[in-house]
Amino acid sequence: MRSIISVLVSTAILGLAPQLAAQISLGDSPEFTFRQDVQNGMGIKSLAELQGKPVLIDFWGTR
Amino acid sequence: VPSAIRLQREYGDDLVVLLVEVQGSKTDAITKLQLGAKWLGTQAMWTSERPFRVPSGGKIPHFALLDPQGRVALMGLNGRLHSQIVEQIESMVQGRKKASKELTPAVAKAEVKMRNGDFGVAYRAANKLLATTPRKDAERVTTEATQLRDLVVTRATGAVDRIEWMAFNGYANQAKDALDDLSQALKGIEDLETRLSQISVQLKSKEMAQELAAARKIAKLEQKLYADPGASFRKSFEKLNQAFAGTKAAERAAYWMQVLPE
Repeated sequence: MRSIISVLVSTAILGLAPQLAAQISLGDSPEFTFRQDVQNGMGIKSLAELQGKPVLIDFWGTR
Repeated sequence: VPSAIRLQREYGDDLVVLLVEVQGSKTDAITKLQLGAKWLGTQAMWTSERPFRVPSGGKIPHFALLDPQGRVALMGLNGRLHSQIVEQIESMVQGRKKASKELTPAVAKAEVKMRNGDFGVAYRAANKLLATTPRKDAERVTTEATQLRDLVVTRATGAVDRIEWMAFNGYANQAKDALDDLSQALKGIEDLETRLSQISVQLKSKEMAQELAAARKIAKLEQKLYADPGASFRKSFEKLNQAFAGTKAAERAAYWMQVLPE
């Protein structure tokens, strides 16, 4: 019974949680549309618009 | 971040660097950090929206390197793979200068023109191939030339979109500078030539004179700020905000007034 409740609670939490960005693998062609202005992006709206040159995406944190 | 910024400075236009802050910090805090570390003033782009996840075991910094076709070529933790990142970028940058072996030679030659930004030359070459393909590989050439022509239009449209965005979002000076070069590069793609000349007319209009002057001023001021973030520029932004009220550059000045100390 406890495990059923646990599954139901987990499902409810996952259902409410904002969708996480997909994990990628080598060779994938990720697609993404930005919802907000990219700083210094001069109006770019998606990753697709960056094609034509190598793109280095660096994930960093402030803390 | 510092090594990504260094690569951006080194490769300039040949490389896109996108820095993604993944700890949900507020924009003001990020800006202060960027300024203090002298990370601003390059072509590097910044966002807090994570486009995808890289397997990293929860560690940061981590990275993904996409090839010019948008495919993931390398990813992982930065420190461990730094020399491989540099090697692959170098190889991609050099590779862009060479004709593709996967295409028929005539199409490959036109594709190189596109990669160099000679959109009109590539477009006209593709059209010429489509009009005159009497050879035995006609079907292949037709398919490839059609795909190339579509890609040229997509990339060239993107370049015009950038200029249009700059023109009306506080970077009118940069739009004006880029416009002449792009206008040459688009010769033969009539729809885009027309669009670009309309932007050019608007940029030269009386209504845009104020935007243009404001954009020039704020660009200079920002360069000074990026070079010497410790100096007090708040008052200068305040003056600009008042002198050019109503312009996009004034909006940007207001942001700096909010971030910079009194």
